[in-house]
Amino acid sequence: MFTISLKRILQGALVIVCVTFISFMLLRIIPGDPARTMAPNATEEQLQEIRNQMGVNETKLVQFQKYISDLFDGNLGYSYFNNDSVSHLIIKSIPKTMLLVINSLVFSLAAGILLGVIAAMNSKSALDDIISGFAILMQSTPNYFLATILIMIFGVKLKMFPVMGYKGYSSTILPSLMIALPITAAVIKNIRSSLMEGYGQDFIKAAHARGIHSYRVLTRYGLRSALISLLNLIGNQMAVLVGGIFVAEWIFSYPGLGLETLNALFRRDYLMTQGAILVISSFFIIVTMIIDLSYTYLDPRLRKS
Amino acid sequence: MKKSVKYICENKVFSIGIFIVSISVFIAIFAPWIVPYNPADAVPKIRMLHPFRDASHILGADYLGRDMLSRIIYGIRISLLISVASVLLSMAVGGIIGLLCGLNYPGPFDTVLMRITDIQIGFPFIVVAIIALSLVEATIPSVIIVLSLATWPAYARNVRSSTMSQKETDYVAAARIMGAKNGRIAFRYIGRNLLPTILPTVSLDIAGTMISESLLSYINLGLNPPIISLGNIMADGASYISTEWWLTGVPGVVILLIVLGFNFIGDNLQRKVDPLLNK
Repeated sequence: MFTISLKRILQGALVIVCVTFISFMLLRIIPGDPARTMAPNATEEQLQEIRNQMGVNETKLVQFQKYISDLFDGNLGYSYFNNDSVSHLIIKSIPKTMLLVINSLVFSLAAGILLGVIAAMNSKSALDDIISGFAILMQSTPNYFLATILIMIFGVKLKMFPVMGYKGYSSTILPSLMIALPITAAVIKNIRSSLMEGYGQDFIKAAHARGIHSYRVLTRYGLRSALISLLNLIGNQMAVLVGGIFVAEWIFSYPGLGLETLNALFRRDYLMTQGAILVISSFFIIVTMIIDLSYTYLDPRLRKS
Repeated sequence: MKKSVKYICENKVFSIGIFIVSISVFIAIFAPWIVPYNPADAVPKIRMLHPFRDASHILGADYLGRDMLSRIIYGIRISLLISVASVLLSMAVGGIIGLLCGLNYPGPFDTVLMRITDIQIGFPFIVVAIIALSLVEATIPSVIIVLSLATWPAYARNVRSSTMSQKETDYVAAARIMGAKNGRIAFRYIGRNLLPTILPTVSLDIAGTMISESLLSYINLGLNPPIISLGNIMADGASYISTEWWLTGVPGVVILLIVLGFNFIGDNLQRKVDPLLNK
């Protein structure tokens, strides 16, 4: 178990380094001059000076070397467009994005497990059809379209929640819902199918035969074995989550890390984009890694390989 | 053949999926012959015509007075073309890489390529798409390639792991004894046996890619006018969302229906392939 963990952590670190290098190089091949974007009316000499200040005049490898050595000092560089250090900007926007992450994960797990259990317990009934239908409908709706519908219903018609910017906790509800609904659908389908699969197996039949109360069979036997595949599913859904954050923050103008990244990218604010991509990818890779390791730990069959 | 027709008839959801997908494929192929008007023709008189008001423009007209039905028909053509092509591309690339990795395991080729898929998966797709589409102009081929960046690693991994288990089976050993070379074993024997396990994913991926394509257009990164895709039509209407919701709503529902069709098919195939779910 220890060697597997160590190997996995080293692999993760390697991937993070590669992602940093590739995004660094790609960002600098994109056409567009950051100095020009910042000062559209400046003369050529002034532009040169700005470029010198930003350090974009040196060769790309020198820039990368400097970037990495700064990185080890915990310095992500300086965003000239925001007049602030990149790390400060990122730290400032992370809590708002984490709110969305926590909200949507809690919602999708709670609603997904509940509805999945109900569907599996009433399989082949109308209730099951409704829940499964809802799940497939949610998975088929483009998330930005879902956002539009949510804005129309809860924002414009009912005026229940704010739809733009960040005005307290209520602003997180609609974006979180937009991120959560497709994940909820995936959780419902996963729980339903693994419970139905489990209920055909002998250990569940044996538990029933021993006269154990069906609620206890569900929680102690059925759900427990369903959790491993659920964990795997959450790992796979991380991509949906990260993509959803970008879309939600963009559509709702929600001031989180996703919106900062997109704005920085469109402004050719290299260091800001670079820092944000580094943080987001690392988060993504680390969470996936933890999930990977924990189901290796939970499922003894996987430990050997 | 008879058996599959029977299966389709017995399975309501599956047949609805087949029905939706065949209609949209039909529309996509014959778009130039079935559009009532030229989708680029702007008639100022019918600007912002609401749907179902005028029998000659059943879905209304947009802010320039272009017939919505004609635009949606062309949008289906482009969106479907892009998503199907991109999934086929990533299936081909990912599949071949997966096969080679599986046969090579535990060799250096396999290690390197699997780390590349790790890196690709470690990049959030939307970031990759934005960077890539800032590098190259958004044309139909470039959007197809960018979209396939999101799906190929999954094919490579699935095919690799199935190849690794298939490699040890008796039929492969038998083929080897008969003197089949590695390439023949990979494509004629293992590859052919992997197809059924990949097919459900293909259908689900076409659905997902269709959503991604329209998303890229919606945030103004995808195809630009005069090319019409369903996402473009929605992006056009987005500025009028608070008063004229149907400008985005109608193409949105069309995307939803087509994606639903592909998801129905994919889900059912998955159940069919995985016998444990069948009970």
